[in-house]
Amino acid sequence: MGSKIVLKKFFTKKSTIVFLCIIAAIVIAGILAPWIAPHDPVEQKLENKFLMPSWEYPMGTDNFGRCIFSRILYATRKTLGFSFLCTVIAAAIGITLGLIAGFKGGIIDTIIMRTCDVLYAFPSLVLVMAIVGIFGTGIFNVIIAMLIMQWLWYARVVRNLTASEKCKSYISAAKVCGTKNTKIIFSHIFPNIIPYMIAIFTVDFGHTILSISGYSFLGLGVQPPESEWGAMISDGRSFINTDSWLMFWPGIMILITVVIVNIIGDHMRDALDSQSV
Amino acid sequence: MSLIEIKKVKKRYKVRKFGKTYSFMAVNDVSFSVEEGKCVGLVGESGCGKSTLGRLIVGLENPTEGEILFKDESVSTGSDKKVPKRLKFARDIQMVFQDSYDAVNPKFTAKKIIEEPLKNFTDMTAEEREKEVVDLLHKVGLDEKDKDKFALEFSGGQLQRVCIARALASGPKVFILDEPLSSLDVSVQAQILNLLSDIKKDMDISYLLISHDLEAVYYLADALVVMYGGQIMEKIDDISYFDKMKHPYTQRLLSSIPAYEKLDGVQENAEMVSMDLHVQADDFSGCPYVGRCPKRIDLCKEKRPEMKELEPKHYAACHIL
Repeated sequence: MGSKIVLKKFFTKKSTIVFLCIIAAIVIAGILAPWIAPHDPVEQKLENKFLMPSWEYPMGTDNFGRCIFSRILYATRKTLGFSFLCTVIAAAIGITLGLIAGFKGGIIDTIIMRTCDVLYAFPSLVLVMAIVGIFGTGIFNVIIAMLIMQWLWYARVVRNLTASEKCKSYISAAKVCGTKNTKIIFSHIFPNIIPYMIAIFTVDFGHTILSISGYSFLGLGVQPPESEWGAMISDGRSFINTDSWLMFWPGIMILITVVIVNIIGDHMRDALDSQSV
Repeated sequence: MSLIEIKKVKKRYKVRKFGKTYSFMAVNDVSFSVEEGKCVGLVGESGCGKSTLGRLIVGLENPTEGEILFKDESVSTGSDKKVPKRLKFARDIQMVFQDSYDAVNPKFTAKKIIEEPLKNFTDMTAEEREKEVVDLLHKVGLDEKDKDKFALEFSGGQLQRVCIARALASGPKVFILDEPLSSLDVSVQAQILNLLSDIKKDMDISYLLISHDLEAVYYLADALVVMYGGQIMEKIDDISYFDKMKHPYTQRLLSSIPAYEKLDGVQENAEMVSMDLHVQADDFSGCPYVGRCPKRIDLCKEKRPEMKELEPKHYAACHIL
């Protein structure tokens, strides 16, 4: 029953379906960018700079005469792709360590959780700066730095959920039935915490989009001439008084995506809460 | 022949309070045996160590001292650190838990719940398992179509039946029933009690019935052990001695049954002292019941009473008997 009821509850809200459609449209547009985009995103035509939106250039052009619409489409791939990659890896590491810590307890639990505490106390911007400072700028260094800071959110939640599931007597029953510990973790505990993980994952995905864009805005992530939403805002900020749509388009994309992802995460959580009643 | 023999078993837990560590004997020097085909009732109030004893027997935990023998072979290694030899005996010793909703994975269907021991202990193919699951469901009074229902779709009594089917699946010799009735309402309790009684007759399984419900125990048990504060207070090897039990604590338990109060004239005395933890502390040498006993003498505080044979098949640990 469990997850089926949650899914049913999740999809009965009409707004959820609308939001899912919007997110799906953005993702598909990103995937199909090479076919949809009307222009080459890095091709410069200086005679066309600062054009207003038109049929030829749906979102206008920037200071190098590049088509903003094409750049936004290609940037979707970078921003969402790297955010997704980062969140998935962080979730995988965090869930694995959390399951181990919660199930084993004792010294292993202490080591993993105190590591979390130490990292938690560390400002993430400083860590990203340090890693980028040592290994050089680039999106992969930023992702590595973000992974170091991100897995612990999952580890903490999973650890506590696992520890509380472990005390229930169905785990004892499984032991009495001769089930081995690894199998108990994967076939008993893990399916019971997956719904919570999906909710956290969705909200965390929104945060990661913001962070990746933020670091690119600061010039640490994606490097020019490649486009990325945060980097595009940064490029456009010199022209805020004269040609503000340079910032407006990438800004509105970040806003829409993050808000919708967060709302979906909230709906997911509501659906989960209704199950526990 | 005794199937399970518990020999001087002790279980010590460490309790940490305000940075200080206290030792606490959950089970203290308990010995009794479960005969083949018989049902032993284990009664006592909450926190007296009866559930811990059940967990020790199935091997979920290891005793600190002493030995638990199954068919003259040790179930436990006698050391806290070593992993219990659980798998070796899991087929023969199965457990039914207190709260059935807590004892099954809410994500599982009845079929998946009952299948679990079959998967672990037998080489059956998927079809054989399916057939066996249906057989077991019939045995516990459920329908074949129940096998695809999820745990939360069952009522408490039905789910307890599923749990019993799961415990039956591995073909055990002994059932540890850890308060199997306490989460059910009275009419369902009677049904489950009858089911347990039928299973015992049909399948020749020995029971250790852990409960605080004396009436249920009296219905099913062939022998009775009364525990308090981790120790055995009184023990009868034949349920027909039930009326002759005379340890002060047993008397008090009996007086909690409304029908017995008038028969025996035992009055619950007004002072209600809750069970003190200190009587279960490592260094306490007196009788654990001393704080609440209406008939206590000075000796009770200093010396722990030995188990005495009052008459054949009737033992009690009390200085005044």
